[in-house]
Amino acid sequence: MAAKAVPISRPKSARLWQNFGFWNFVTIGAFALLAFFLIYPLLAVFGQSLTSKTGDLMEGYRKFFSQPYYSNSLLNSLLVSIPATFASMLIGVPLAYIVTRYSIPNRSLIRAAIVLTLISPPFIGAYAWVVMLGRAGLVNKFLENFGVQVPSIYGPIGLGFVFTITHYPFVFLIVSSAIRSIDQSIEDAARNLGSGEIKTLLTVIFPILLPSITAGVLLSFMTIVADFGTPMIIGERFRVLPTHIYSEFVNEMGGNATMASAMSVILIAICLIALALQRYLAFKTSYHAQTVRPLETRKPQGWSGALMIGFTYLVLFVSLLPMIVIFFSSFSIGRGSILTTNFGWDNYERVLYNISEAIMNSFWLATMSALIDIVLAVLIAYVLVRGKTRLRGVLDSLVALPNAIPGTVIAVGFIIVFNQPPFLLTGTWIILVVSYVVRRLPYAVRACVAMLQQIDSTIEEASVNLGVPPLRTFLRVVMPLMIPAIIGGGIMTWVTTISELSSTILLYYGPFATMTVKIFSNVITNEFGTASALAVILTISTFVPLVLMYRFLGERAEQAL
Amino acid sequence: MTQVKIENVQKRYGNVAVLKGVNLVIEPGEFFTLLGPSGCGKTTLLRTIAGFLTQDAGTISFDGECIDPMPAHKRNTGMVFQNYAIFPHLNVFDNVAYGLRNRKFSRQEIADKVANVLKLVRLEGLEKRMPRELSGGQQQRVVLARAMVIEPRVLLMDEPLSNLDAKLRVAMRGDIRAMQRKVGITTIYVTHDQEEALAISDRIAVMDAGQVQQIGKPAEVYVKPANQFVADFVGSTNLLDAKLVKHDATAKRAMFDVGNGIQWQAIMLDAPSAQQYSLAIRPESLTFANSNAHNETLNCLAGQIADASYGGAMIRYQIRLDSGRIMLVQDHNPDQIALKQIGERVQLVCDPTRVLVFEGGARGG
Ligand SMILES: Nc1ncnc2c1ncn2[C@@H]1O[C@H](COP(=O)(O)OP(=O)(O)OP(=O)(O)O)[C@@H](O)[C@H]1O
Ligand SMILES: [Mg+2]
Repeated sequence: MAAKAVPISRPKSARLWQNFGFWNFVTIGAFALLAFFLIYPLLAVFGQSLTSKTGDLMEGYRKFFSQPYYSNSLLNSLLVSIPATFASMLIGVPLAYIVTRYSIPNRSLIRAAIVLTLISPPFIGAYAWVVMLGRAGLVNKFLENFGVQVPSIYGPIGLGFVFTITHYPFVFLIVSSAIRSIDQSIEDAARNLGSGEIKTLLTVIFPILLPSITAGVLLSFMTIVADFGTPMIIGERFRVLPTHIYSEFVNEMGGNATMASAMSVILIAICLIALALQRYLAFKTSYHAQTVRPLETRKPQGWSGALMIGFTYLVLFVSLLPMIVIFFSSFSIGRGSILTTNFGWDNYERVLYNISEAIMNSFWLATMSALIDIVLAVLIAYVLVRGKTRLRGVLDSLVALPNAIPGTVIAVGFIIVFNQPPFLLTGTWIILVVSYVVRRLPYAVRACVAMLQQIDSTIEEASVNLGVPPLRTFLRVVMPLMIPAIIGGGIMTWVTTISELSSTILLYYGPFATMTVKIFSNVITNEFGTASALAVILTISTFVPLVLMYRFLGERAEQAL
Repeated sequence: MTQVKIENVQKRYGNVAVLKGVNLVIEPGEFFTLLGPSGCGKTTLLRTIAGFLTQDAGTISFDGECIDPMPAHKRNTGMVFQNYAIFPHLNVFDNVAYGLRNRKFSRQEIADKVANVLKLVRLEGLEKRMPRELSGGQQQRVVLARAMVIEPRVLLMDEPLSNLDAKLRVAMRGDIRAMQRKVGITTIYVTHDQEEALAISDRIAVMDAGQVQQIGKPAEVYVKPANQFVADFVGSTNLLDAKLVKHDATAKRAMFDVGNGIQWQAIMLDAPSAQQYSLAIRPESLTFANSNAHNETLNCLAGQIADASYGGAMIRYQIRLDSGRIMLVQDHNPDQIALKQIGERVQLVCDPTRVLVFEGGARGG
């Protein structure tokens, strides 16, 4: 039987994968794209941070750490981000457990509201709190009548508060999907072995959730520390890294490009550490036991039940309050930051008359970016899930990288790299689209990867076996099955793109100002009425697609988040 | 009808050799089964034939034409997957028509061919159903129809029935065999179920650890297993350690010591080349001696009934020999009035012609 081995000349075509250059081309293309539009700008930022007149490469960093003017921004960032992250965990985890396990009234509405909080740009929330608690704030003025002095929303405390209330949904979503994947038998086993409810929760359920909690916390930390709009609006003199980078970079007079870049590098380093940790943990816990029977839902009962319902609705109220306030203030006819109880459509008329351009810009920029993203995502996801290339792991990390790069930093990099020929992109809309595509690629790819992993690869083999070549098989079998991910991922990309501020504010050019830019500039110039009307339009534009997506995809919609 | 020739096909995954030089010739129109335990490389071989894997060495040819350089989608094999691999977004008609659409057939031809094959698999009237509205057995039929309708040169089936319940499995395998006969297509069928293999195959290749252990008609494989593995895997077998006592070259008989001084005879054609042998005895080859009368020409063993399972037309006993070894006995014509009781002492006899002799000690227990 052990005949001598006759080595065959390996037929190139016999393997599904090696069959054609197409997927190799996609792989190379993806690398090229990310190298040019992500790595190159980031390296340029790094390079810029090393420039100095004296030739001392470390001068920027030395200056950063020795001058409180700079190092305080780092301290401030950490000082406010870490407690806010911690607080968002303290809200997000119990809320996830309550809403997932207990039959709280209006559960799906609660989930939708929390998702809405996640989607709406944090700086709009910040601005709403200014409307309520700012210098001419509604609540302040109301309470002043009774001689009560409300603490200022401006500064670190208010900033931490707004960060918390706008970022706990990250923790909430990740943890609640983890809770849903726990099988009831695990709890039963613990109960059967004699642990009580609280003990089971602490010794069994909580440890299972720990990796997800950590992942949610890290994600929330990354976005908090990178948030630009919120500290810009309520930070005031309390500067954090993103706002300091921005002001250093746009300030034509005293600005210092080296320092802006050095701060960017430090900010990236912080985010990268968080991302690396998160990916490491996700990798370690990527086993997925089949959930046969999800945890049973319970009825909230007695004191603890009342407490849970109270807690849930309180969080919800505080989350939705900004939207309500903005809604009413958008109809309030007044001048500047003075809001009156005189309601009408004036603000909307002004918006549609003066800045309808911005609305159009937002729509078509987001649409174009989302379309490009989803096409790229489908292709890249296929390479990641089905590919045999050894570069898969690298590509996977590279695609996740934009998650960790603050918009401000990417914009700085883009401006350094693309402000001269042959790659002159600054001052065009292309630079906006490119930055959106790169920044939102992780969302779209993740949605497609999750979907593809559920499609059995033998289905493709069956098609090939019936004589349909691999590439046509991809179009005829894989693509139709990926439609939910294409829609979900596309909508998520669209929605998060249209709410983008931090890189847009640096990259836009007059005629291409978007809604977020206009809201922001109106807030800064105290044109609250206009800002609110635009914010309402923006919120509706993100809410409607989300509702449609939930209609269409049900719970699966959250996969895309 | 196509002849499939597999010559010295080898495949390794990293350091693990999964196929260690497989040689098979499958005749045109034959229903050929690859039988073997889990992990022995059946799927690997089948996927290599279909072109989803490339062998490291060896060649595969259809009708003498080497197909190694041919990509999977050009090989024209019809594969039936273990997990169905039905297209979930297409209805029954479109699933079956899928392979035809890619070939140059008119709309009418496609409709006719699909109608014919659906009749063959008895799914007429379900054309518009979506896969999720079908039972497991129906899905399996759709997949079978889908593979057959393209008139492939070879039909490849990888444990097509393993997801069905026992009863349906038996019914479906009859259907598959009948259809295959009607169409006359060369078929390679993979299973780890020896009963299924015996029931439907023209010929069987028993595989173990990436090697073909025996090729033969079902009866040959059962009655004349080539080695201990085949004897043990196809049907059940009692194995006894035996020492050669003497060999009579003219009578082609050998005498063995099976322990405790008990001597057994068996047919042995070749001159002995070793001392240590194992004797394999099918459970139905053992019978109970009526009396204590010792018959010189029969092999005997004494023991005690350890367990009995009544099966109506047949009864299975476990007998603990004095040496402690358990022997299985299958009595196909039991004395229904006086069934043996547990604990009863019995005398087993066996015709020497029904003893299989293998070199080396008995593997396992
Ligand atoms: N992609 C792979 N990488 C590494 N080893 C593999 C791979 N695919 C299969 N193997 C190994 O090759 C051996 C043969 O696998 P194969 O799927 O051919 O077995 P099989 O005979 O079809 O078994 P079963 O009856 O369980 O389906 C197994 O030991 C398996 O672990
Ligand atoms: Mg198999």
